[in-house]
Amino acid sequence: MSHVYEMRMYYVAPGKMAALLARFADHTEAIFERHNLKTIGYWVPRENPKNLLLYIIEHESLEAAAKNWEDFRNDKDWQRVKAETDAEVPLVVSIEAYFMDKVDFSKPEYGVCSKT
Amino acid sequence: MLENMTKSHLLSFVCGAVAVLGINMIGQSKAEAPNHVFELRTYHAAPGKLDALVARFRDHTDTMFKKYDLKTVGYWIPQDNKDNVFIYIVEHKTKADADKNWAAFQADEAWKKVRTESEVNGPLQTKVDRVFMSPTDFSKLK
Repeated sequence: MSHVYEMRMYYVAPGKMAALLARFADHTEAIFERHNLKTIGYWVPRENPKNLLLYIIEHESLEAAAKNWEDFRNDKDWQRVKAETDAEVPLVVSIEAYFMDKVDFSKPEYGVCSKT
Repeated sequence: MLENMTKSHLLSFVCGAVAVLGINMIGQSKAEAPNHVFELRTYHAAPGKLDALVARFRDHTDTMFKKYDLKTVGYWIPQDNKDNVFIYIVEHKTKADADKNWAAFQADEAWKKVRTESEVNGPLQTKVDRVFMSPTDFSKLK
């Protein structure tokens, strides 16, 4: 079964990028790991007029993604961290997320063998 | 006396300048820490051309990228692909490297031939979005 990848783009509140990065570094990433939310990378555009943070998560399946996100949202530590860090103003204005399939040219499905 | 004071002032100025220079250099070397530059490329495939575009990457482009140190982290297609896009991320050592490697790739005769032949019936993509990104300190890829 192929893994599923999730692209997540966070539109960060004005002036809150540093606070959001600190939340990921100090809390979110560790809580993600607890719930099998495996990030492969986090990036900030070098020219960033939309104040974006992007990251990609690798999931075993869509079902696993749904379950792991639910577990994460129900995590008491996360709920506490979120309440504390969003108390003044939510750090994230909006989120765009979508699931993607990886195109791996080394796999037979994309290789010469599949050409029929 | 006056001469001595001037000398000692000059000396403290020089020492201060060296200290400032030293701090600046530390700052600079931190800023230039060897975090790589990542390029997110989103190809908007021409209508009906997504498969041909993916096939071109599979059969040609991906191999040619390797020749020019264009290191792809991954290629992806959104599951709900209403914008008909093909996405990939390239990892570069520096932005200058990115510019140099892309220029070398674009000048490659074999690539020019592949591109021309694959586009006899029209371009495979209508638009390419490029975003250069820096990894965060806690990013696994960096």
